[in-house]
Amino acid sequence: MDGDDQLEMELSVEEIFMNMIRHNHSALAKQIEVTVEKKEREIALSLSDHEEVPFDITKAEGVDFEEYIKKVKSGGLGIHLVKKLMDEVKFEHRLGVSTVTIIKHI
Amino acid sequence: MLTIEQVSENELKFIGRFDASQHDKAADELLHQKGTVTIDMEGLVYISSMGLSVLVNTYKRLNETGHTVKLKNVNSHVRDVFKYTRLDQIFELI
Repeated sequence: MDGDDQLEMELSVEEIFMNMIRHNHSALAKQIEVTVEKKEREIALSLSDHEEVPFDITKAEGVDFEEYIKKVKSGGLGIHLVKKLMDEVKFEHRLGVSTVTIIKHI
Repeated sequence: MLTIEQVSENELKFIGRFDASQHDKAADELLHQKGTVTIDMEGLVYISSMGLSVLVNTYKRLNETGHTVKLKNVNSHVRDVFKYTRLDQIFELI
């Protein structure tokens, strides 16, 4: 993994982490668990959080850039960046826990 | 950690990492800028969407009086972030 890949992974983690903090109001959401798995050709990093109402970032609406640039907005770019920078983004919600997994091919 | 140096009246230098934890500090610093501001990003290695939001809000404020934000010496990773978010169409990358 080169330097830019590492920065892209760090950036994606920050965006998902901040998104979980910003949108999750569950009383059980007291900690976010991070796991990293290195395989031969990819690095998979997962963030898990208690979430009563699952928010699947893989299904989040895309950014309307025409409108965006016209109005000079700045919100909603984080998830867009994660999808652009990572090779795969997966979401799973099981037993009240949401897990976002980002995968970077190496 | 982000360090902001005032190079001249209309030029700042960003050094380090502009992540969510640096949002408030940077927003306070940029609030002092009145005219078109140039930000030297040679030493900036990382910027997240929270960092971008500070720059966008600064652009919006300055643009109301006919001014803008210019970014110079942007490295490849940070340039990609501007390209992917299409903010390279708002800011002048020099």
